[in-house]
Amino acid sequence: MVAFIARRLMISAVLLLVGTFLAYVLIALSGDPLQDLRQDTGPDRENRIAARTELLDLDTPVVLRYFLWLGGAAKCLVPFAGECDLGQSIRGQDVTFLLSGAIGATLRLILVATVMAVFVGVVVGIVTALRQYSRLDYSATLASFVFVSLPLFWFAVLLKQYIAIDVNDWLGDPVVTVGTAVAVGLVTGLAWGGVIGGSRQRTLVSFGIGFVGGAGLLLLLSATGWFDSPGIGPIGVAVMALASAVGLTALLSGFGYRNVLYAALVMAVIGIVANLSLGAVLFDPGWWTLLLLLLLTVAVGVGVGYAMGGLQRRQAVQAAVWTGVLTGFAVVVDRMLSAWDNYAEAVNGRVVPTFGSETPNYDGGFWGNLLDSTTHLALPTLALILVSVATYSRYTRASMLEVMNQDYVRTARSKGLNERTVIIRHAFRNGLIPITTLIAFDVAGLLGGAVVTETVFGWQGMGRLFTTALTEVDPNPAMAFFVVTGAAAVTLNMLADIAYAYLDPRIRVS
Amino acid sequence: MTTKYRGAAFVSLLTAGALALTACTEGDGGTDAPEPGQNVATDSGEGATGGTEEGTQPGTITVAVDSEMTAYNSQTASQNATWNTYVENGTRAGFWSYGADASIVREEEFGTYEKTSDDPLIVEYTINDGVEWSDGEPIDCDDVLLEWASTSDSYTDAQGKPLFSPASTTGMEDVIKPDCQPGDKKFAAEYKQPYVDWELTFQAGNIPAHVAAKEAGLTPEELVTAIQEDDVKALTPVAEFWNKGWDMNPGKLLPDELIPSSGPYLLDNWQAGQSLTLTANPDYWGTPPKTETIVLRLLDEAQTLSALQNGEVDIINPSNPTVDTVATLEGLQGQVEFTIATDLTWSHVDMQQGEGRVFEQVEVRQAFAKCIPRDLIVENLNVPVNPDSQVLDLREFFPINEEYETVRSEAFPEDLYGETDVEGAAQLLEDAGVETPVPVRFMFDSENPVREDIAAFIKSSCDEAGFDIQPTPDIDWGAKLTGAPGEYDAVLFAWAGSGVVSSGAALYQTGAGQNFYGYSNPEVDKLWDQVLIEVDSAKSVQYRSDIESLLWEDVFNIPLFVGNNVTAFSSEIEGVENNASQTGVTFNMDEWSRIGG
Repeated sequence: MVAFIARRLMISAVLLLVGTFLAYVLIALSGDPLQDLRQDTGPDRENRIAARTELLDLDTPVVLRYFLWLGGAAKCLVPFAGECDLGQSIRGQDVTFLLSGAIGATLRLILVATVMAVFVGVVVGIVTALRQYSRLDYSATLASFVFVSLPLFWFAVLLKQYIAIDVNDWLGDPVVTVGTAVAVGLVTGLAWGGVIGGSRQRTLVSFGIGFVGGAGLLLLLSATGWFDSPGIGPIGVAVMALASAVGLTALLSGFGYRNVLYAALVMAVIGIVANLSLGAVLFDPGWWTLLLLLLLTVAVGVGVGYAMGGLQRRQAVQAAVWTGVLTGFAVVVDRMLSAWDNYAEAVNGRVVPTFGSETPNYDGGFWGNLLDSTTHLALPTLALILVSVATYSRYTRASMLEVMNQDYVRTARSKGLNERTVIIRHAFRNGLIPITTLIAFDVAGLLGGAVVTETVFGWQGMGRLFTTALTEVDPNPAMAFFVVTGAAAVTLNMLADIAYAYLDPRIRVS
Repeated sequence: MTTKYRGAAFVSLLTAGALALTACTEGDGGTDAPEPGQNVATDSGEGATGGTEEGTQPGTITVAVDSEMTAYNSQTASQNATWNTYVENGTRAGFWSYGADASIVREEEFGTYEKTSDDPLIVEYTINDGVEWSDGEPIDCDDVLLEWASTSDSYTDAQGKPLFSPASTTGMEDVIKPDCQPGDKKFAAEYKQPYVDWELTFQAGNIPAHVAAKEAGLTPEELVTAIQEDDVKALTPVAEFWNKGWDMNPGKLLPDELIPSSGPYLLDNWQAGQSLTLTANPDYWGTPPKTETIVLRLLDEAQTLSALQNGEVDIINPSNPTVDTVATLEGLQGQVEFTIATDLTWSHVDMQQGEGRVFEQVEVRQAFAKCIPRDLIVENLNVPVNPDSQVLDLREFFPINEEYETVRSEAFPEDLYGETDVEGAAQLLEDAGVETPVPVRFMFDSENPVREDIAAFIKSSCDEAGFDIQPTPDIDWGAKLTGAPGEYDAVLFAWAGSGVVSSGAALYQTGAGQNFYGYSNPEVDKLWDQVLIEVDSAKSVQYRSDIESLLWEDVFNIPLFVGNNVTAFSSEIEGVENNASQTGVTFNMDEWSRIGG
């Protein structure tokens, strides 16, 4: 393993070095960095050209300039020396500084998107695999192909128009018409019918429940003026907590042996009580407080599950912990939405923004700011998710189908295990192994590849840094981008290989 | 059983801990704490804050910009850029500013100036009493002297390199060092030779000398003395700070005491990559701005329309507007208002006319001018965007200038070039005795689709007249313009005009910096020399009118049209004006206000 890592690192370093040279030369020769000044007739023309020539060292041959750059960049490898010098941009700003800002923005943008895309993709993949060749499967396949082939810039325009501008207009007078409700009801009904599956009668019943649930909920919310000031409220939190408890139990152990259910329910009740009693802690917390509460939740969950699990202690711990986490999430969403009115007033009712990462000069306390970040993340995250869900769901589906036909799954079935145990315990985990590799590739790609998303939604991330540098023929920021994304790709690929070997003992790295 | 008990104990312990945590926070915050989110800053909602005079309305107006500020001092060669000017429009004041039509507007609230003698040119300046930086330091002699010292190219270091690196020294280098004492509000600028753009020389309110002095370890008085005694040693740290000390990385506003404002707004808050907030200067000496807060939001130009539509920005100014831009804006009527006007970027065709070149003979150039379908180009490419578009017939005057029509009637040979005349062009080529078809390597920016269209129009018309237009789109056209004059015969591009009269000389005088084409006409040279030292504006216009006539006689180049500038804004905003000059739409941000407060 060590030899493998050492060899990989060495090869990667050489590759990266050659890559930087090529990239530098290509970028430096890709255009004329003085272009904009050449068209200027003002009296400042000559001095500005001279200043930029000096700043970017344009009189030095490109190859020599590369080595000068390399000399500065090499200092970045010395840890804690603080002498990192990635040069200056065409506007005279420190590239190291620009880079740190860009990485921060990109990470914020892709973190949530990646997590959600993986989650949704895996769920859709498993469901479609289990309902292979059903209408749901075909619809999901069609949808993934549509989304994966949509040009992002165009898709972004649609999102801005329909999810931002139109929704904001609608929020001015939020009334759901019967037609809309019926349409939404049809969609939810079809989805439920497809997911539940089974006999014709069962499908029809699921469809009916989905239809009435979707359309009815919408009309109810509209009639009660919920959309004027959305929220969950303590009752909503309680319902969600109990529902998570029941749902997770059903998923993890079933209701045969009740201890797991009890553990989960106790956890839900603790969550509900905590929600009612922690008002002051949650009034204006910080990230550290929330993290502490999360750890506390996990600890309580472990305790409850351990204490009440009985024979199925492991499942009980899992169910209790996840119930706690989901309840906590509901509480967070509830609190966040409590800042809705305040936030809506600050942005003149235009709640869904089309660009940027924050409302300038808005300070709504922790929850208001969280809501602000969330609404700003909404469109770009949606765009990124829809595009990458396709890959994840297709891979998961294929991998699940393959695993489901393996001998050990048949063995598990023949031992008389119920379908849930077969899927969750035996098939699901093994089916996920290829996805780890995919995630590693995807994160590396997203680090540098959210160019269009960043441009369209006004995020000054890595992609934007690179495109701006390229249009201005500004090698230094472009090189910073190249080094970071190149290094990330190399490292993450290596991690993927190691993880793969770890997860699948049949594979050896050597 | 034991395990179970232990587990339960663990849980109760944790629960107790959580409750304890609750209890102590409750004790701190009180039970009747306000709703979450209520602790938002409410300044903007509660009327003028302390110090702001009547006239400034609370509220925020947001304008989209496509680049972030990079420096407080934009007088340096490396930071002289529009994105800094955009901010300075609100944070600096001076003796004059550019108006919407790029004319010079005197700022009488700041001070007054008067030309008291033509030869030698002497201008007497008076800064009004009470005019001061936002930190309370009066704007006076030290600021003027530093402005002179930094932009007059008067000081060099031991290696002979200029101490200060300003973007431009034009004009100031002819000014004899003003003689003033610390605290003086009056000074006189005497020029070694008359200078046509004398009004542009002094701003006085641009760079706070007391800050530069302090950073260099001097008092303002010592700085004045150092400049008066040409003490290079004392000035070196001042220059170092002036050159680099005011540069800023994104989001990193320098401390308030380093970046005082002389204008109606203060630099307040900068979120890197997102927004820059300016708030009304409570101690502003002039007419207070109409709106308390101006936010400049960074946004890619292609995305500004939807942001305007969604109410996230109130004002946008997309450059190079297309037919689609205008159509979208028209579709938003009622919600959005917009104005289109021409600006100062002018597209034109230049010809290499040195010895042995295709366009050496004037007849060939005349033929080219005749066959280029200027009216057709404007009709197809400009009129759809701006119905008022017209063919540009002059070079030093634009339709936006009031002198344009007068000069045009004097200088433009309407009968020769008023309409496309392919036969006339063919005739001229025949008269010239050149072998047809005349091959013309026609260079333009390969990344600009509009220029590609123009080239196609020219080719289809001029090929009939006996030219053989060979379009050579090139990404490096800018470098080749000067670097490889042998590789093209004609070139299509646009100059970004500045409104500075003297800058034209570099385009047309023999061997001048931007005359890459071997053009030489002693009469033009002489007239430009006269323009440069002519301080009477009427005479200056007359000289330049004569120059235009000569340039058409020689067909030095062929102007095509001026660019369009669109400013769109929410119908709830008033006071927004289209601005043709390079200072941008924020030039009158202090006039912006929300209708109905």
